[in-house]
Amino acid sequence: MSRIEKISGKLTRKFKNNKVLSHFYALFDAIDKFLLTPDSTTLRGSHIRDSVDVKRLMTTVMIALTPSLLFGFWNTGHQHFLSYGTQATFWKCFGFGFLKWLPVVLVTYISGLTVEVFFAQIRKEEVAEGFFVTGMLIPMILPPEIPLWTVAAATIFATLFAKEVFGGTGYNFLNPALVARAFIFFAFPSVISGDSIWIADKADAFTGATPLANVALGDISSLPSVKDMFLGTIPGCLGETSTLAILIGAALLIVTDVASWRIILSVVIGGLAAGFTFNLIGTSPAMSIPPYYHLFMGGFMFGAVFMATDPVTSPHTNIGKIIYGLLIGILTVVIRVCNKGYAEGMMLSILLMNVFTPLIDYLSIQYNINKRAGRQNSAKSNNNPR
Amino acid sequence: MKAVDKSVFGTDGTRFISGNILNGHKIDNECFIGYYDQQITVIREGGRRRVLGWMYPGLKLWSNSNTFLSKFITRKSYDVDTTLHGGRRVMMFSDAYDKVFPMDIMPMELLKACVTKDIDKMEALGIYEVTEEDFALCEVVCPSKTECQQIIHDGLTIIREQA
Repeated sequence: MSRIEKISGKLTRKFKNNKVLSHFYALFDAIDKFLLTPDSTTLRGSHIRDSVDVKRLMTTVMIALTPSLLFGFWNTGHQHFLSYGTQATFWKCFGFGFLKWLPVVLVTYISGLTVEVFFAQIRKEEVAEGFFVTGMLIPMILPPEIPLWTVAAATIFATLFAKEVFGGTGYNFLNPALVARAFIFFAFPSVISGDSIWIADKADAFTGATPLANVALGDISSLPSVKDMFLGTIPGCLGETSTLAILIGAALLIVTDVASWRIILSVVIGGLAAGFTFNLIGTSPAMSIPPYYHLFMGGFMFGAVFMATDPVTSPHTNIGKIIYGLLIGILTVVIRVCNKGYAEGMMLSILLMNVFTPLIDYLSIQYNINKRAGRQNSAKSNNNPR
Repeated sequence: MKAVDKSVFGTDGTRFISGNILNGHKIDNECFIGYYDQQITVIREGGRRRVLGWMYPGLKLWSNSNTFLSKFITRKSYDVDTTLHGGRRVMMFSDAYDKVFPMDIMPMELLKACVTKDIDKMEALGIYEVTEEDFALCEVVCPSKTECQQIIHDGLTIIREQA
């Protein structure tokens, strides 16, 4: 037994038995399990186990988020200096963005983890890893000019009412990160709409409209070029602008099999199909933009790769995943094109399909049950020809 | 067996299993092999803690998932022990089960039916076609460390009591 294991063992006993310290056992346990892998061994059933655990899967998602996050830091600075018409060096842009976002990330983690640890302590369970990813996703779908108190209020609301009241990570039926954004959107619409929030400390004379806002206004001539939208040098939320960075993360998630490629692919196909159908109708400017523009604008790819694939809130069966993905893609484009009041449809369509996930799962389980029953009946009738 | 105990794995400790590694049961070093078992398995007892284990690239760790680098290099032998590798969580990753479950049965849904003691659903999802050993591989690969064999065992017990 190494020295660090001995120290941890000593502290564990102290936190378990001491009257005052035992109130903080969940917090200690979370930090302890973060620093050292658990020492538990198999008791019954299979004697060896796979090395993978939920922590490992969540770590993989965090690594997949890194390209978008780093690009987002740089882009926040880049957009800021661009609005003043100046060019800044790479590190100046990156540093500006990093300092702009650091408080948001810290506020999200501190407020969310406080709720998580509090509930883990009451339930006498371990702190689940789910929030480490959620806490990173929440800042990545917010605009740079978001007030910190809204971030804290939304994070606490989402953790409490989208997750903990249902029993914690694994029992929630809505994606907590999207609930946080929906909460801000409906409770404080003024801080998350308009042209002034998408660029950090922008110059007054500069219009900071996102491509989606232009589409909603029917002003498709002022859309940025496809290259800019693909690389992500456009105003927008922290993580969502660069399709390229998101695709790097998607590749990692698909290779490691952490996210379902069926969901990602079917969201993209659904979006393209709906965009193409609107092209055929083509009665308004928003209907006539090329279908692939939808993939590069707003949070479409970010939602498809990191939000729709949440293992807890997406269907468990393969056929269910495809139906779920297709409907998300279609609904997103329908909301974007038909609803002038709200330009971004990704958040609402994923939340709506999260609600339908139990129904999709129920139907695909029923299909399996019926198939089995049919097979048994045919086997019976083969045995008794009469 | 007592002689083996200290000589093979030293101070790490040894686990003697009557039966195989997937569904045998743990026995003492002075015990006998079970009546229905024909083999004895000896593996290293786990439980050592690794510093920042979630960060390891995982060149030496065995996993059926693709999240460890060992999957992508052609490594043939692994040093396995009885470590659980993680804490118990809620069942949420059905893909891991589907990869190792050969029958046309939905493993996760059947497990959930057993946990909720829903006998009609258990029958409809095919509880009569499985035994607990069928779920041994699901139990090995589960990232949430679910005790699948015990759940199926309890489910079959409920069915037998009701019959």
